[in-house]
Amino acid sequence: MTVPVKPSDRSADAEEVRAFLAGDEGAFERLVDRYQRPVLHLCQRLVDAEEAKDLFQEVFLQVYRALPRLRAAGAFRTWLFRITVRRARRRALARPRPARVEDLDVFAAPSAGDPLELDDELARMRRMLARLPARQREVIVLRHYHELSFAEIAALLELREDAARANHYQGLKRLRRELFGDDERMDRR
Amino acid sequence: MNDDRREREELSKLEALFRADPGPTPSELAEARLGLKRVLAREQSGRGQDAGGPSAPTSSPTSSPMPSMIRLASRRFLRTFAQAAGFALLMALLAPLLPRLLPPGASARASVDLVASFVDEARSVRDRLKPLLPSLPSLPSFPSLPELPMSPTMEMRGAPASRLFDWIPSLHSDTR
Repeated sequence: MTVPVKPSDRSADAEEVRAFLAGDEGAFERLVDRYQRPVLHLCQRLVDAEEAKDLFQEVFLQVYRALPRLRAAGAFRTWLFRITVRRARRRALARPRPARVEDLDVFAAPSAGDPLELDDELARMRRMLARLPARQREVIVLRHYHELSFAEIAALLELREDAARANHYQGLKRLRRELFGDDERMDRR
Repeated sequence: MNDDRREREELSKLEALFRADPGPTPSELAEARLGLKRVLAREQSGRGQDAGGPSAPTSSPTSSPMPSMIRLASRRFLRTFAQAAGFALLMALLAPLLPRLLPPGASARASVDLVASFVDEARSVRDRLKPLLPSLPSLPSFPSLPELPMSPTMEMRGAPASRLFDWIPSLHSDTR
């Protein structure tokens, strides 16, 4: 799981953003150092493994270009994740055809760092996660991988907080059914 | 009751799976970062060429206020210029109609008042353009507006209805 960013890092983000705006290119490098892991992880859970690296580059390139227009420097993380989610959605819309179930294996591709005994379960969970409706997947990924509060998720996805909670509930219910319900029933047949 | 327990167990299993997901590996990170480095280098060199130097500083509204001031001034100029052009066009269209606006046999004073109100409009447009175009010529002076009749005189009250037109131009005069 990605280590969540501590709230105290907000002021550090704001300092780096201000330094970058003052002409310190190194400040951008430091922001990338801080967020490369959560952003790449988010990319890997929102698009397939092939696209994740391209999406990662797109996101930071847009951040580099748009940083001078960021009004609240302290809200850098929310802004960064919002860009990532929007870009991921755009990529999903630009796909020539909807993802088929067999294509979803690329979402579930195990990383070299996955412990062997977890590979199967993780792969299955990732595959099911990729089959969720986009909004439910986004809420679950932001909540469980990045430990964002519902208020933060709602602000990031431009939803009402109760809608974010509802998407989370529905997404988890569907994941549970897919992972522990339907398959068990299928095994029994 | 069993359903609740089962739900809790399933949720805790799911939670464990989320926690067990290690995220990107160092090699994936390194690869993604290398790609980003290349993309950023291209972006920076592109900016450098645009700015005419090898290392163009990142521009921000606070660090370079001049372009925004120029943009603002040019926008203001365009707006005022558009108003002036609109007024000139209106005048060009109305000028041929001016004699017809006055009823036959209208007094010379009525014509003067009508022209004076147009000139007054022109003067207000000119005042707005003056800071932007200092070389603008000044306009001829006409009788000042307070001199124009602002209410019907005793003579007008006794006059036929067509004479009331003499009073109308003063209503159109704008003392801006």
